[in-house]
Amino acid sequence: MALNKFFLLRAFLLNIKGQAGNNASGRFPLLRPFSLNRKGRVGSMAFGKFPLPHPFSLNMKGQAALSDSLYFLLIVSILSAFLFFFAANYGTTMQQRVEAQYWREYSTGALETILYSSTPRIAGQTLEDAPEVDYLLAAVKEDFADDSTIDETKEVLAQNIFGIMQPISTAFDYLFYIYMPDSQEFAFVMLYVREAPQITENASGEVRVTPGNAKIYFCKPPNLDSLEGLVERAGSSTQSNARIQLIELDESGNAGYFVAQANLTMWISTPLNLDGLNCEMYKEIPAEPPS
Amino acid sequence: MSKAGFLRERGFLGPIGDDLPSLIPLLFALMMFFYVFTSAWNAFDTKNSVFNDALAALNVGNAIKGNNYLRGISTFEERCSEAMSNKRVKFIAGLLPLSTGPGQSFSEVKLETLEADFFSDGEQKFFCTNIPEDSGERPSLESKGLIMRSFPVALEFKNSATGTFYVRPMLLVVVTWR
Repeated sequence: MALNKFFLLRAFLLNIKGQAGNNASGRFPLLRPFSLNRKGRVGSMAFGKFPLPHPFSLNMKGQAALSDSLYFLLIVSILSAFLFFFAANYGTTMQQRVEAQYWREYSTGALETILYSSTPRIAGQTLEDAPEVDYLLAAVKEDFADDSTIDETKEVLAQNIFGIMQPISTAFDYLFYIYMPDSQEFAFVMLYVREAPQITENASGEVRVTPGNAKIYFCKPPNLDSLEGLVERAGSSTQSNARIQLIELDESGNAGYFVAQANLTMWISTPLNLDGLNCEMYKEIPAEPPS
Repeated sequence: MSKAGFLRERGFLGPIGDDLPSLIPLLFALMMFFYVFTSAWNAFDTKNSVFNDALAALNVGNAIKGNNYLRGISTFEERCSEAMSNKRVKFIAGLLPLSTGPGQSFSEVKLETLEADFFSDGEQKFFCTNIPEDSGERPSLESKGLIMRSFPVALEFKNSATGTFYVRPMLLVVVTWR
């Protein structure tokens, strides 16, 4: 029994090598029905050397082999197409994540730098020459403590924010605000947006793209939802938040401390509708003409 | 009729000749598959390399900026030596001053003059690199795979005349290449 199994296996292996004809017809005739060259009638593995006694085997063999190879070509084409598209799309998500990580680092660094920066105590002086300097955030808190508004320091703060965001301001719009969650009010909202580029065509048909001017606004939005709506309309954005503590003096001069949230949000420049945000333009920065 | 004669009559061309038409699509399919496979392999390899370089540039920037606050040249040099442990990419990094007032403006980053433009506090330049000065391995605009990243940081100064400290915003610029 074991010997028979051995012969069966040997015959099978020999058939794979295309030698089944010799062996199957000789020592192991009973094994012939199991040999591979029975299947070879419809494939290209019969080698033609030992044609089978089927009336259509010779006429059909060439066509069958050709159809086999065409099926093989079809399968390989599908696999290759799949592999090609997989390779073309490989890493797209990774690329987006690396980019997003970089912009998150940028916005976090910008927000921290805004909050760490110093300012001269006397307006008009430079940091290098001023006899007395203070943290910008300390000056903002002091300004807010007087009358619960940031008015005296808002231009200094806006200038500082603009300076820190200037390296990316040609491509990005941004929003900076200080929000008090308890009273659901804004202490400060600054919005930097760039107008849509102007596309003009002169008489000779030459198309010229002029970048839009940038505008800085101070806004008084009615609620946080209106700002969040603006950011949603802007598309993909990067946000950084920091908790700060503001002080408010009451009529008797007692200080009340409460937590506020400083937020910096940036997005790729997109023309946006600012209706409903109660924005007032602070400054317009003309675009540099294209070189 | 002999067996060979019978076969010839039925159009038998021989073991190779009979299968010759089927070999053409077979070989074509194999060639196509291996071409696409090799291209895909190269695409994976290239993209992985690009990701690793981009992450290395971020790592260099993160090592130097730390918590986005630099206490002066000593902190900068300390973090610079930390960033130099990154062996994957060659890099140059330094600080450029950002504008802080109405009369100032930030000029764009120019690769041609970047090293000269890096900020100096009068004594030392805020400049960091992991390549030797005389190796001639400085990047050019034509360099392939040049990655530039910038990060805002706060730099602390001491005014020796008045004895006051102040912090001003700076831009850390990192340029990496292979």
